[in-house]
Amino acid sequence: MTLARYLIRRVCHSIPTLIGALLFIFILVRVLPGDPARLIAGPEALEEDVQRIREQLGLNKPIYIQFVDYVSTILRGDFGRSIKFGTPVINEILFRLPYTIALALVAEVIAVSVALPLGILSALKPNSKVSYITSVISLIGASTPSFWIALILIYVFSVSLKLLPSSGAESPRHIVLPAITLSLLLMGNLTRITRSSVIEVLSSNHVLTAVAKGLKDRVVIMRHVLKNALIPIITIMGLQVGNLLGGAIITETVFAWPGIGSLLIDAIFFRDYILIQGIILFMVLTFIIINIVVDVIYAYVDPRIRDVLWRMS
Amino acid sequence: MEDELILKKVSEARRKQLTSMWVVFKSNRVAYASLYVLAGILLLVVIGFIYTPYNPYEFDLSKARQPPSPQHLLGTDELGRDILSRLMVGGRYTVGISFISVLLGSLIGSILGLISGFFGGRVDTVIQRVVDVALAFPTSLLAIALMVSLGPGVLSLIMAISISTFPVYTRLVRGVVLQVINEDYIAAVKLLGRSSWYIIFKHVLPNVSSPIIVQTSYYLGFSILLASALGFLGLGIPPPTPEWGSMVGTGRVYLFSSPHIVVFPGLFITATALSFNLIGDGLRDALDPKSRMFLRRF
Repeated sequence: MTLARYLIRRVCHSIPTLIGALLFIFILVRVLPGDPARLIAGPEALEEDVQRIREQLGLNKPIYIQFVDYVSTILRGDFGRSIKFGTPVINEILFRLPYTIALALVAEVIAVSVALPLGILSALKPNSKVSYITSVISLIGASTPSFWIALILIYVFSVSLKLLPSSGAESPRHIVLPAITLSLLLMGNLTRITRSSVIEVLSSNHVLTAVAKGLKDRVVIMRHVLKNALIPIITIMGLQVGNLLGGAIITETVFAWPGIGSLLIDAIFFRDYILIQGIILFMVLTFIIINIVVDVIYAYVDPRIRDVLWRMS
Repeated sequence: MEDELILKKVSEARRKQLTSMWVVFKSNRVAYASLYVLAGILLLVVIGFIYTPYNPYEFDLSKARQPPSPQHLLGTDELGRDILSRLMVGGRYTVGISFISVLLGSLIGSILGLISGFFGGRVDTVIQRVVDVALAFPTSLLAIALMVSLGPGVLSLIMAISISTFPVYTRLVRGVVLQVINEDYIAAVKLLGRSSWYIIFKHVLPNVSSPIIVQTSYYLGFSILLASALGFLGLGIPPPTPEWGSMVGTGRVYLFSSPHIVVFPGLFITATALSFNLIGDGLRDALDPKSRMFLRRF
């Protein structure tokens, strides 16, 4: 009951943000150089045709009416029709989406399976070799351009060693290089947060008690340290969805991976502003929804936060 | 007389504090070394204004795609242009734009954060709603969207990056301000009848400056990556301007036969971003170990 109420409250809270984001995207597209009606009609179209398209799109109406129209079509789940493909934008997005989800999931799995053990080990043994490797990995993620890492990986694994394909999505092997590239973007932060939150929990009283009780190290770490350290880690994973989406745009473009990130770049070069608008909105919506989900999970796993929040709602 | 004595003591204490910060920073060898690496790169970029080994724009197809040699230290690109010369000139775009945009973003963001935290009420609500909207966009998506809308060019790039960076500053500064204004000494200053701006500049600003400085160092690293990613995607500054990211972008076609065209610009981007991140780590430890929680490295 309280969970449902908290969820509703959280959703209501993000409505102003959503309206703001819609307004922002709307303005961005209106500022775009060139007349969209002329763009759709093509350079050789007659003035009458351009005028007709303008009326069809409602571009002759006052700007605030245009915004209301835009919001109401979005609410009906209608993202408009792509100029380039002539198909509904939402179909294009849904067709490409599974590829982006697959890429993001594999990248997240790689990132977590490297970051968690490394973070924990380096927290347990500061100033060791592991802790040194950890800080190097954490720096790679924060300091190397992912498009460059992608090209280096292609050069090493595709060109020199001929082990893995460098572009496309025909077989499961095609996902390896893009997923590694994307995971590097997440790994650094995830390792750092794991390390610092484990260190913090290790110095808390209840861990001291557990050790004093004579529990084995492994039991203390699994039962008392990890469980508590997971909360900030989950939060970071939620925040990183933004990095994932942004990183996917570049990674997918380099590896010609047919997800929504490369679709966005294609749309930009076709000047297909309806498709651009749709993809940006879709990504922002995803980001907002995932943030809500993370907040709810966060409130659910930590009883301290749960009690406070639910009493408030 | 007594006032003067106090002032003297305060300034002496401040000097001691600065010295001890410098000692802590210097003891972090990696951060200290990064300072030299960064200085080296900046020196190359500055020299690029006066002198480059070759004309970075003039192409000579007979010399195209030469690997590094004594004549061309970092080789030549697909049009036979000297890569070192292009990197020296390109740095003023990649690094310069990052500097200006982060400066702008931090300035606007911090001012908004100060106002938001200090005055509260309706102003706070409005500013926080704007920040909410900006943060609802993944940072690089926001920058890409802005570049599409503003069109390629130096000015657009500066606007896109500073708009993408300001919201984090607003949140950061607002958080610190809210902590500070509940301290007793602020209440005391208020009782003395000082104006709001006096309190902001004299008492609030010094408290927020360390987190701002550290965040800025991280953001400089991040915006180098962002600016070059936009260049790589062809959304930054149009060719033939040798922006580092777009050099990687145009060179990637020749990855199979001449990887050096891609490798060197990437190394420059990495070295610069890495230095900023390491210096940021050093500054964080030197300035305020407590501020770790707030800061966000990418």
